[in-house]
Order: sequence, then C-alpha cells, then structure tokens
Amino acid sequence: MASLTSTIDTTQAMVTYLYNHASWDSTVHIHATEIPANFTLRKAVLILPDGGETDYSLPRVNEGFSFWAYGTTMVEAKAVNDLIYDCMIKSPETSVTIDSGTVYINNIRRSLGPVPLREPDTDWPRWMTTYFAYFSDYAAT
Amino acid sequence: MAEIRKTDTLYFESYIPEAISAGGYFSESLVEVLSKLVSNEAKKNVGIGKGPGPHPHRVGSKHIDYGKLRDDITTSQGREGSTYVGTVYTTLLYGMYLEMGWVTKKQNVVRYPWLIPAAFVVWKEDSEKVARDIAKHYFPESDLSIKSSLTANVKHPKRLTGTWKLQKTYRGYTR
Repeated sequence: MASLTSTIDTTQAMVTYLYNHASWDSTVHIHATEIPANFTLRKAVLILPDGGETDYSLPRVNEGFSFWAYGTTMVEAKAVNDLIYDCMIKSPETSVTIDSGTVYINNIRRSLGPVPLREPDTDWPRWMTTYFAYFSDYAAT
Repeated sequence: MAEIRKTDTLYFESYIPEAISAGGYFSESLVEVLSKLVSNEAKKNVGIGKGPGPHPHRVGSKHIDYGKLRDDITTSQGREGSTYVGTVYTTLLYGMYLEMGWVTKKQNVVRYPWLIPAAFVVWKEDSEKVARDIAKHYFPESDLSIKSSLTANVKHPKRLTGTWKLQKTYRGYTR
C-alpha cells in the first residue's frame, strides 16, 4: 500500500487519543484549534496542529502538534503539561476511532519544550510542549 | 528584565572515516553558512511590514515597525563535543511569542512562526547544494561515495530541533 486510503483528521484523532487515554484526568478540558468563547482560566489544554509531512511511499502522515497547557496557577498548568506527557509518551502505540474510521497513532515523540510562559495579553500561566506523531489508517503488520 | 533566548540548532553528523579526519573543518564551514542562510531567511519573515496584527501595516494602527526583531537576529557557531552547532537566535522576548504564539485579549490564537520555517526552507532548498560545494573544497580528492554520503546526510538531517533556553529567571521559573 503506497498511500493513505482516506483523509485523516489528525486533530480529531489527537483529541480522541487524549480523551480515551486511561491516565487522562476528565476535569481537564481539551480544546482544539481555538479557545472557546468566554473561556475562563481553568485546567485545560489547547491543541494546535503544526502541520507535517506526508510520506508518499508509506500510508502515513508525520504531523506535529503544539499542546498549550493551562491552569489557574503555573503549578496547575505544569500538572496538565505533565499529564499530557504521560499520555503521549507512556503509550506510544495505539488506535482511536473517529468519524472517518480507525486511525493508528504511533511513534509519538517530543520535539520541543516544555516551556513555561505567561500569556502576554491575559497573563495566563501556560506550559507548552510540541510533539510529533505518525498517523495512519492502515495497521502495520 | 527577564530574558529568554531562542536557540535553534542544526546538527551535522558523519560516521565516514575520511570525513572525520577533515570533517571538523567541513562541519564548521557548513553550520556557519547554513546558520547565516537561516538567519537571512528569518529576517525576511520579520521584515518591516510583515507579521500578525496588531501590526503597523494595519490601517489605524498607532504602532511603528522599526524592524527591531529583524535587526536583533544573530548567529553563532560552536562545538558541543564532536558536534558542530550553528545557532540562530534572538534575545527579544516578543520574538519568542511570535514564534510560539499567544492568546489575545479577545481570546484569539495568534501565531507567526518565523524561525523554524526559515530553517526548513534552507534545509529543503539550499542545504544540499551548500554541502556539496563545501565538500568540493574540503574533499577535492575524495571519491563520489563520500560526497554523496555527506550530502545525503545533510539532505536528511537526523536532528533539526528547536529549543528554548531560559537564560535567566522568568517569573520565578528557571530551567
């Protein structure tokens, strides 16, 4: 098989991956692409797709995501960031089911961070880490 | 004032014996040229009149774009063990926020990555030719396999990473 058999919504796959993970804390809100209107500071993560490359010789995409972890304090934001790390690194091979079908996620690796920041406009505490992962709709055998 | 230093590191690695003997000079030259090319590309991205809003080029803006970030982009070269490292960086805090993004008061997410894309452009468009040209200078007698291995290694870098190094305490947190 030389390429993906369908278009994969990798952002939806990543959100589903976190929600499905056994270690995930259900009190941490997951947002993707944008902050919801009237967002109030709480334990939350904003997932931003960074793009990536398609390998035309293999049925997979290699895509990066930035995870912005928020909390009411820097310590709480760090705890969210640590939770994301646990979910990303401690179960590197898995599959999730999204609208388009089954998506296989593997070889998740951290590429940048963690970086502690303050949002310059709102002063929200934020920890940021970037990960890359392989996504495929085809199970490797 | 708290200061955050942005560092992007380009690595070149070689396991070829002939390359190792003269590879130091080759690698040194390579990272120097590549880091300057990345710097030039990054400066284009943050040139006067470029960038996300609120920005001077927007109608009604009271801001003036002096090109401060562009002028602050700096390169340096060094060695970490057997690895030659070219660094492209700025010490301006807002350069980091542009690169990594922030949430505005209206809760819009704004990102304007100007440095990592510059590095990727150089890797994709210039690195192979640069490596080949420099290899001709340092390995004039070498066979083609060495040159092709060198350029292949550069063409598919094992590591092209972005790291943020906090140089001083920033709001109570250090790394």
